[in-house]
Amino acid sequence: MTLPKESAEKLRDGLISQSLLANKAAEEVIKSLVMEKQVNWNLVISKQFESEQGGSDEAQP
Amino acid sequence: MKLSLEAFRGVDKTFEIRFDTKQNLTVLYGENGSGKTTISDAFEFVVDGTAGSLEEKSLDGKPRLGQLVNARRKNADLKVSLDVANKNRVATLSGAKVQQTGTLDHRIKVLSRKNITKLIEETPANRFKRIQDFVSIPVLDREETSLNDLVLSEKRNLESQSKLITQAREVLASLFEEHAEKAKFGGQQEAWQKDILGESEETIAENFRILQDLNQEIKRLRDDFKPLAESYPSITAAVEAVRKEEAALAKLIADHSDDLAEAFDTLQQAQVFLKSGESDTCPVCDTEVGHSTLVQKVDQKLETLKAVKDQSLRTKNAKEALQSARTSQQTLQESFFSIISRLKQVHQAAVDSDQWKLPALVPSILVVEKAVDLSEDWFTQLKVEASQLKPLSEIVEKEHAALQIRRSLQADVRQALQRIKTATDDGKRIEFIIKRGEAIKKVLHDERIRHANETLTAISGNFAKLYAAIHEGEKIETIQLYLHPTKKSSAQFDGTLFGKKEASPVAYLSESHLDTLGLCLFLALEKRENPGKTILFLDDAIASVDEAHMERLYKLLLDEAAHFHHVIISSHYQPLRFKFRWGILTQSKVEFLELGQWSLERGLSLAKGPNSEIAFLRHYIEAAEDAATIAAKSGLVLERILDFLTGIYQCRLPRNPGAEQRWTLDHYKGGLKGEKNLMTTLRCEHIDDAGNVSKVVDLAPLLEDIFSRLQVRNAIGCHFKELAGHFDEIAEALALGKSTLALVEAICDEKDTLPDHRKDGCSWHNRGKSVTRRLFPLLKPE
Repeated sequence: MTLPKESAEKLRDGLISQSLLANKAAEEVIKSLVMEKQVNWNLVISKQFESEQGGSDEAQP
Repeated sequence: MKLSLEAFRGVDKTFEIRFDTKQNLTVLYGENGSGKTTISDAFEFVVDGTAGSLEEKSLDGKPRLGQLVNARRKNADLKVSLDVANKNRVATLSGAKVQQTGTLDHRIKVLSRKNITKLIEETPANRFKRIQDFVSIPVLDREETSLNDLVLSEKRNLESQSKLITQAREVLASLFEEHAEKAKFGGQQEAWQKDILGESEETIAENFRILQDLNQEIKRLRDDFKPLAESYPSITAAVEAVRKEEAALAKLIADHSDDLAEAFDTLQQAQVFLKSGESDTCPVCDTEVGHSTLVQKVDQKLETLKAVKDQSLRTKNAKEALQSARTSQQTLQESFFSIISRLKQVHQAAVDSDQWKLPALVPSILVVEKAVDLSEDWFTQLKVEASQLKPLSEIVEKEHAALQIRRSLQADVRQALQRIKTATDDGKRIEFIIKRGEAIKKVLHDERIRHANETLTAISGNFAKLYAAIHEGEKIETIQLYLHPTKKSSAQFDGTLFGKKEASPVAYLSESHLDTLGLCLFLALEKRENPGKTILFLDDAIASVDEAHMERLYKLLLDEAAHFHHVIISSHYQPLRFKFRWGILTQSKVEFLELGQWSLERGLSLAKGPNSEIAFLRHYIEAAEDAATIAAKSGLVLERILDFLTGIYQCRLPRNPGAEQRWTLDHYKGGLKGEKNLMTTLRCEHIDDAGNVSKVVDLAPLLEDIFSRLQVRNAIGCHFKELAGHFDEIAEALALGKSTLALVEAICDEKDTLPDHRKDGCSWHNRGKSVTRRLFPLLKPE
């Protein structure tokens, strides 16, 4: 079963509202899940770490 | 939809069965062993490439697919073909593997009697495995696992970083213990570290270089001291040798005149002359001296002159040795002067650095300005002062060694602190990944569980509705499928039953109720996944349902069949066949197929309908030759007609029809005769093309006639042949046959079909566009 649309939306909301990932990163993750592509979590979270350590998040609109 | 089987299980030669998919449902009736499961296995084989019902049976290690091959045929002969919606799939066996060609858009789902309650009775983990296709989102499962792996891996990584920090701290403690001045730092390791690192690396390197240079020059001074020391006596000795050789030469020269040297040449020539001849006369003065004497004299003279020449050579050599010694000494002096100059330079640099308290250089070194100043006297003075250089050398060596240790210590401390910093920084990143990874995993997990539980709630609601349609008022709506809140891949199935919470239906419901529950759950699940492309095959799955619930279950299946591409119900349950066949259950959107008895020779077959049996009966009556066949065919036709009549009028028949699970003609007779009001009112109207009643036939006389002849059928048409001798077989058989045909012609239409419709609301009439038979009454009179 592919990722239902409702699940994709709930996941996006969960990731963004809990500030777990920046908007752009969350969108990319959801896109990968919808396309059933493997997510490189290490890379995604490491980038998020660097972004948060840097004090500014370029990914945020 | 068409299924063709060859060399498959009980099918030797080709068997073909067509399913009318314009109808939603096919009821496939067949007695035990008639081949119902063979057909469901063929569906699974051609669609899924599996061995169907053999998949879960023990075959003592034999290849399952190979066991599908008919006992008389080879693997290569097996072939199953399925046509569905203009698509075709053919499956064969190549060795022990399935070869499938063609594509199908449809899937097959088989529910057998054996498996009907499996979903309910399974352990939660196995139940989850069975339903996970319906509730799982594989991409979420995969990414949750991936995040879990990442978190675990980073936790191990964090442990490694922590160990690195501990190890580096141990190294620092050990260095502190070994090198720190306790009097100065006490237990203050950090102050010591600060002190160690206080001096810049560059300063230490510079000081180290100064001391190294100083040390090196002192060493070179020491190394070159001895050769220079030895050069002075060498010169003195060489001078003495020259003097001595010159004195010896002077004495020799004084003893012999200078011209002897010239004479020497002459004598040499004379010597040659004398050796070559025998003359006794001197070639110079012509004196007769005798040849031998002359030779002797010349040799003596030459010997004397040679001594002078040799001494001259020795003198020359002595002078050359002296010159060489002087040159060598000069080289040594220049080198030594260079060392002294460099020593003075690096010593001054060391003094200027103000890092150490260094003794001054000795005066003999300080006064020298050029190489030629390094005279023997100067050297003698240096030798005297040399011992004063020892403290300098010792201090330099000591400070150099100390600085080397400090430098190494600083490197070790710096490296350990750097390791701690790097590991701490990495640790922060790793902790972030772990924490964030777990939080994201929870989001994925929560959504997966939410989706699964929502799906399961929908399924539960649906199956409860289905179940309620069969078992009205039993209120099992609280029984639900749900994921265990903490255990992964665990599907619970329980609820409140009879006031008891978390009750398992397995413990509280009867077997037939559990069967219904299992069937409803199966339907509810299969409806979730593209049912329009699904062919459901319920293989003898409803056998345990009692008659009271049969009609409701049938109605439910008929309603639910509309969701699927097609539903096939196979059953050996006689009442179901009876009710379908004779219209007690609606036949709208339903196809009824009946399998004949299987035999090794004939394989699977579809049973012929009553109309074909009637045609056979007419044929045999016309031939009037075979009494047994006429009696047997009469019996078959009567069975169908009486079965129909007792069915539509709900006549009382024995609860237990007997060992063969089928009613006999006597049972039907009893059933009809027991309904006195019915017998007298049974009549059939024949309608002409204009719709007018052309004839009315009362059935009671026909039936009474038949009932009176039933013993003939038993005596001739079956195995009680010992009674046959009491009859005129052919006459009796013909009488029975003709009575049977009279009943057929009274009730059945032109196509010999029974009036199994009641759409006009007042009678049972035949199917088709024009009604030609109307059977009354519609209902059994009270």
